[in-house]
Amino acid sequence: MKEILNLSIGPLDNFDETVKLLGETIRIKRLAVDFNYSLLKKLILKHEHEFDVIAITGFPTPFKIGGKVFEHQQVKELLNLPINTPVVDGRNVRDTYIPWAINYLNSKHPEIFKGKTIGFFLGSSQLPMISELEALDCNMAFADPYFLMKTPLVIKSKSKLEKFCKVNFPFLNKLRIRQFQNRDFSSQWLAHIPKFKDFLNSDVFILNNAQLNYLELPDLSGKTVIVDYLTKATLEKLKDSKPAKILSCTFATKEMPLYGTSLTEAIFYALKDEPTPVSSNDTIKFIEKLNIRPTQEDWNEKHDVQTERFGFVVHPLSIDHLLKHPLLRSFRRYKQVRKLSESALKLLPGFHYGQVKGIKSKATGKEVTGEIYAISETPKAMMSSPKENIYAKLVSLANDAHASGCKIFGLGAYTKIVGDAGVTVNSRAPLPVTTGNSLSAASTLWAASYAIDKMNFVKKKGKIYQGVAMVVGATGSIGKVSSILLSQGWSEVILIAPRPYKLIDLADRIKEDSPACKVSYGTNPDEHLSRCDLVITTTSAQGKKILDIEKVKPGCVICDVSRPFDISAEDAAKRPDVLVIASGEVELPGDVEVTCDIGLEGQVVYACLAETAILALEGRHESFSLSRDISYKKVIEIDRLARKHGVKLSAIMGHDCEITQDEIDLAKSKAKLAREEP
Amino acid sequence: MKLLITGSSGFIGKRLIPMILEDYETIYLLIRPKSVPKAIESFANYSNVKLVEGDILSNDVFLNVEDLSEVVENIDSILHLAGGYDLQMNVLDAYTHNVVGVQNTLELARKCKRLKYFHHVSTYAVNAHKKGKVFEADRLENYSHHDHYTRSKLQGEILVHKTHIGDVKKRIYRPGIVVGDTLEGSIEKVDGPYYFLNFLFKLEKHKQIIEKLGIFPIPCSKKASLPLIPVDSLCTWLAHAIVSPTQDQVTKTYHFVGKEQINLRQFVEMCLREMEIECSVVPVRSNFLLRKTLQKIGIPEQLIFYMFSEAHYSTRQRRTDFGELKEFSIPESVPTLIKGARDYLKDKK
Repeated sequence: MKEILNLSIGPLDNFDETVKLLGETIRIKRLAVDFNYSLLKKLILKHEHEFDVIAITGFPTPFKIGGKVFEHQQVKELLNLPINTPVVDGRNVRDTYIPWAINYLNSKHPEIFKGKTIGFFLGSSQLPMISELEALDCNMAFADPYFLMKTPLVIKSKSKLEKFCKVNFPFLNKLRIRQFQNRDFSSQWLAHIPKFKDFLNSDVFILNNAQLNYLELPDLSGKTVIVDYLTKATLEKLKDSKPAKILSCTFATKEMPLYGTSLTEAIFYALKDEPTPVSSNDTIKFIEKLNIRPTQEDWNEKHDVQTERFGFVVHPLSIDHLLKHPLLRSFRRYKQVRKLSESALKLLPGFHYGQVKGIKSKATGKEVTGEIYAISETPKAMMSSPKENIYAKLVSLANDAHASGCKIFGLGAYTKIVGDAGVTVNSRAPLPVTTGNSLSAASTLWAASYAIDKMNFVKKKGKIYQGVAMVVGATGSIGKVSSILLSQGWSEVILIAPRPYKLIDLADRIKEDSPACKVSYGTNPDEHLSRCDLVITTTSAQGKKILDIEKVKPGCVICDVSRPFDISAEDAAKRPDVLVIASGEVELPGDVEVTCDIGLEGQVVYACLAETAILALEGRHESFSLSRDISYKKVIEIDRLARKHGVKLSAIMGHDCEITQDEIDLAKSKAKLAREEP
Repeated sequence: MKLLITGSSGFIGKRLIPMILEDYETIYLLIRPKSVPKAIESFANYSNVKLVEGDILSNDVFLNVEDLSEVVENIDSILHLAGGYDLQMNVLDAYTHNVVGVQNTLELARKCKRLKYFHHVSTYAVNAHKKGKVFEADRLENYSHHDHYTRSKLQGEILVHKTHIGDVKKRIYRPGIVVGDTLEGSIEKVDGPYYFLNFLFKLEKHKQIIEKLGIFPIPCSKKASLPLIPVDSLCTWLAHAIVSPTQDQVTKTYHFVGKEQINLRQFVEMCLREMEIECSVVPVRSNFLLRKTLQKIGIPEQLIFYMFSEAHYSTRQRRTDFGELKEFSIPESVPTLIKGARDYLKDKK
């Protein structure tokens, strides 16, 4: 029988176990000294003759930068004690196993790494892993300055991390290894530091078992966590922070329980025929022989069915809408209250308005609940208020949402138009903020495509509509993306915006991306209306007339994405041969109940709200759509996620209600007649 | 019933064994090879006592495989009495005796096939850093006691809690400061309060000066408790607890200290009264001279911590589970304790 002494500098975690591996019986005795280095050294000297190999654990991991090894002076001393029994610290196994484990995990779960942000609580202890992740096109965020020095800074590249390690090593090297005071990553104030938010919003977190003993973890809901190995206690601690997935690079086989790298190196040493240091080849050989594979802790499914929350803010589109609130409902009949000026309403603080319950992903079964907040400004009031006032109200609501457990916050209607379109609010809020513009754009195109197909006036060549599409408000965030995406599916696109200089850039970009599409632009939509088969209006005109409905081509589909509408109900009624749809509303999956009046019925919600819900369902607590410049790649991605979770077009909506098939048929027949007229 | 005892040749062990002889079919005593002759001498007359050679400090505990298999096959209880007891012991000895020793015994317990109870003798001192009432069921804090003995006993107790041994019921006993028995007061070494007694004996010849002064300063907290327990009372309680343990599956801890606990000041007062020195005892605060002064008068500095420890040990669990145990009275025992200490010191001289 081979005997291994495992001396841990960490807190009491003693055990005595015997395992049988590859026909060899190995007894492992762990003695933990609770940070008493001199005791650990004395134990090595006392017991060296009784064991075949000694493994030391809990010490800082040595790191290699530019061929130079940086190791803590105490580790150096222990490895060089003048004794006959070998002392190992796991570095030989770690340098081979960890990169292999990351590649293995990537081959099994590529979605975890590609393009994701990986957060390291202490990156300097994981340098071999970082090189592998760099190759996998991951972004990285290292919280080393906070972990080691309580300085809430985040390092964002390997080279900067290496520099940080080099600079601080002389200081860290002199520190005595002692009980690390719990580093609290769960503090609320950290979430208010914009740069630190980048770390907290990482998609994947990497840490090791030892660090788990010293960390107060932030809320990891929806995140993936990768650890070197887990004990029962650390697994429980990790579960408390509710990650969606826990992947362990543990050295677990059917025969062998969970141990860290240094003990594994000692085991490999004991299994070797020759008592020589464990090489990379030995590590690979034993990985194969013992069939060691990283594992996934199978608990997240249970967690996934728990309800997660997201916040969303709406505002009244008019004073009538505001008085729908239960607290104000009784005032509706008082004319005096109705006469309250919009400026007086600005004095009201934001408030909790209601909930959207029962949203359940078709793909994962995960449930989320939306907390709906409202501010009292109407669009008019909002645009005339100082933007700082609106920011302050939104940030205050975001704080409330965060306090009530929301993981992401969505801005609805005009709240995402004010100022810099969510950027400032996001930087001040304790949770990620999204405007929902990506799904608004996607759903607009769903609705447009659906209506065009139903009207059936535009022929298709392959996947390209042989007709003319116009985007009014093409330089806005939804308009820009709609223009780019339409140019990929239509033979001609006309871009309309009040500032022509902004259109030149956009047109150039479209020409470059979709050379087959004819692109023209202008400032007056009326000039082109008679040629257009599809018109998308997405402006901030606040109800002002933006086009002359009489000039619209018969059979045309107008998607009015703006709120308030660009096309009034009266205008729409003037042209029964034109289909005016208020796109942008979608249906959420599950048995959805909206407990407040958001101006829509049943399971139908605004697309921007749906985007926030999708991000919560996906566990992607990130500022997905921000600023006026949204990426068409994100629109494509949210389109994919929406389909995955079962979010779909809620049938096409008119100004007040759903547009039925009969109404479409009527519009179609009227359009046919109108087209036949000379 | 078959019982294995570790540390049977110690101050408590040798008094306890005669008390439980009739309750067990076989009592295995784990004896270190060097102590075997002495053990044979002590226990030769007991037919149901079997000596097995071994050492809890060695990985395999037993010297002979045959002994190991016999014990593993037969015993239904283990009483782990062994351990190092010396406030001045060094870190390696403390860890080896009180942590590694416990770990090895627990590992042995895991191998036992019929084991039902694991009885572990710890010390009240594991909670001496706390203030006010300390309950037996209080969660242990991994406190960094300044003396290696207490720290290692605390770690040993944590190990007992942490180690899962199937359905085995674990019982932890925390005796107070064990002093001489109530009949003779005999002791085997000077420790704890005996350092003070020793000092007081030296002062007896200066009785007139002290009486003239009228006060006797003693560095301690007014609330510092001195949870003394005479060794015979402890053994009676321990015997009862291991022979008739409760059936609860949860690990239970008992403070084996008197219901009424005196403090250091009262103890010194009682001793001075017994020695017929009339003066009032005045507690004084800790100060920079204390360490040096204590060194001068032969009191180990490790005691300072206990002189100011303000924990008061609840005995609720003990009284609930073993209400029938007879309480003892320290004030009544003081004359015997002084006599025992005098005799020991005289013999030692």
